[in-house]
Amino acid sequence: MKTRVLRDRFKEKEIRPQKEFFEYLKLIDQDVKDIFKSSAGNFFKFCPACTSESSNFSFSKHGFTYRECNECGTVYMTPRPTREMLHDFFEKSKGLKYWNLKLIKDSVSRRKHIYLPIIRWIEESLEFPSNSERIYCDLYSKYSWLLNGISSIKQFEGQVSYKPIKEINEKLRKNNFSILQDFSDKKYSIVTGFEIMDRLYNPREMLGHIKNNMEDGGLLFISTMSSSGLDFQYLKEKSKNLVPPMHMNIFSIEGIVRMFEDFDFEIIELSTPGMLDVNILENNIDSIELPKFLKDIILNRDKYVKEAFQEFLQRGRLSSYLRLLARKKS
Amino acid sequence: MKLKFGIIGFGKIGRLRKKIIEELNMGKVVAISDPNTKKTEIEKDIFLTKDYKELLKQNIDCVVIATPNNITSKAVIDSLKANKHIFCEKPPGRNLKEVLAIKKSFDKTKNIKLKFGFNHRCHYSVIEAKRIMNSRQMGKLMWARGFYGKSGGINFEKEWRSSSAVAGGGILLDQGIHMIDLLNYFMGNFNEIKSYVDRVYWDIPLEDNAFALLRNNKKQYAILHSSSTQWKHLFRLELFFTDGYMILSGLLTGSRSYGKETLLIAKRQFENELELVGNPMEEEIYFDDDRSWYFEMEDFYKCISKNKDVDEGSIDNAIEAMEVVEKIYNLDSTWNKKFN
Repeated sequence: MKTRVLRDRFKEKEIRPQKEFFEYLKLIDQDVKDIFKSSAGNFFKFCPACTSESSNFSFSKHGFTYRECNECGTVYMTPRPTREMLHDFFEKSKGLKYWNLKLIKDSVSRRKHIYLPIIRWIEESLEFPSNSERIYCDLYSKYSWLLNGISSIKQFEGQVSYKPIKEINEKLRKNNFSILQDFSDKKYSIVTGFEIMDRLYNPREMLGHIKNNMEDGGLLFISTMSSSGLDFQYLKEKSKNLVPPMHMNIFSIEGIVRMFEDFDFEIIELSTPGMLDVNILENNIDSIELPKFLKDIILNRDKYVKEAFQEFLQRGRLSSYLRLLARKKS
Repeated sequence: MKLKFGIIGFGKIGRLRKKIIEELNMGKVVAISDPNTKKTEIEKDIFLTKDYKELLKQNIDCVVIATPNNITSKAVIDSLKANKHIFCEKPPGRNLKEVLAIKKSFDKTKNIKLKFGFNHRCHYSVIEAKRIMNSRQMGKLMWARGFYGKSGGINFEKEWRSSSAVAGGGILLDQGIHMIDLLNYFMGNFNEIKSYVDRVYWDIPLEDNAFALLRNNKKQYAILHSSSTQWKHLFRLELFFTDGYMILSGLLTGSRSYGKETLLIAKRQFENELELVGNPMEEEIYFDDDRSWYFEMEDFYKCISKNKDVDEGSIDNAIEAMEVVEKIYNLDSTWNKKFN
């Protein structure tokens, strides 16, 4: 297994402009009130990563409760909204619409600091030549610019977007993506899922479906939040990036490894190439209790110390942004 | 397909090869030749001899040769004559003449597989760098710098590696040959070489430092430094392309003394990126484990079982590496006079 460390330089506000980000959070808050008026949803007895039944209460946010698995440290929402309630939310949410139209569209910073490194990651990991009979599938597509970048790496035999957000359907079609609402019989060689594992009602069930629809030796690239990361460890419910009901599964490193191994995937790369843990804690310094040593690094040390500390987190897979590359075993 | 193996030379590396053969379920080690190994150290059903020629008379399909350098070429040639497939540790001989003699003998055989242990090609950082280079994402390779060194040690002067008659060459032949093989692997065909070779610290009749500048007819340049006075163990290979660079640093060896194995990758940035000129965004990949010994034995097994040509670690690779080694020695006239 390998780990990738990124040495980039940017701040949280560059990829999440404050004014727009707060507007988005406000809208989501209202969505939750409008859409989840009653109903408690379904109780999740098992950890969605390792299936352990042993867990403890971790925190509540906007009326949603999160527990931490005592086996693997994954933090998960339980009870969680039913699939129907979630479908309703993703259909009607004004906050999500705002996010898709305002926050990610045309964001030069997101392209440069988030999407381009992902494109490079995939480019470096693909071994087959162009024009080979490979089909690429992206799950729950949200980012058309990113997908266009990936599809320009190689000439795939086919390109599929599974259940994309409707705002990007047209762009995807223009760029030769077929849009699917159900998996077809075709087997995919490359599957990507960016920021979806944290949002899935039942990630293990979905991983099973993904595996069934991949060819032997096929590659699966995912990015998601990690509960093992520094900023999540200290912020938990205060993390502005943890937005219920969307984020239901915050995987620990141990949990995600366990889940992929249970489905007999070979994990080729597991990295936490996040650049923002220190900056995010700095931005929330007044609302959290930090150990004196950590507070000193964040408040009193220069940017070189902070960069080195962030790099240390990445090396130890201790940042809150996780990327995983797995191969379906033959 | 289960193979019957004989191991010629049962020191540290011979023992490691036996373990890997067994772990990979490639077959069984049925015979060992080694002057120092005792019967009690090995399984009862393994034939043990001090004379490798006796080993070659046994019912075996292939041999692993892990001997001191003065025995290597003779053992390879005798094994070829005995019609055995051969996996031979580096260096392939004490000098080019010995390796060319192997080639002559090999050319007379049919369907025999001969592979040399240039195992650095099988390290994850090298595999990944080669793949990225082949994908042409980085553009054209312009130049490389390879530094490989170790510190010797308290018994260094007494080791067989420090004996001119046994080893045939110093640090350049013993360790630097790996870096030369990698420079050949990424660039190759060096037709111009300038060098300095010297013994600057150790009391041995061989070089403890070698410096070389190399150029091929594609106008690609390389710098090589091989040292046994590198007090902190070092492996570093820098590859600079027209569009970016890759730096391979550290090696996952048994002692971990070369540091974590990493591959640093970056694209050059100087268009409209004032703050990134000369300081581009870099990505560094850390590798958790080393499977290089396994990969090369798997490849050897595949070559035999599927009757495939040896591509990595072939006799031609061995000759190319030895040609560079020999040129580096010969082109420093002061050293050449002293050494000869």
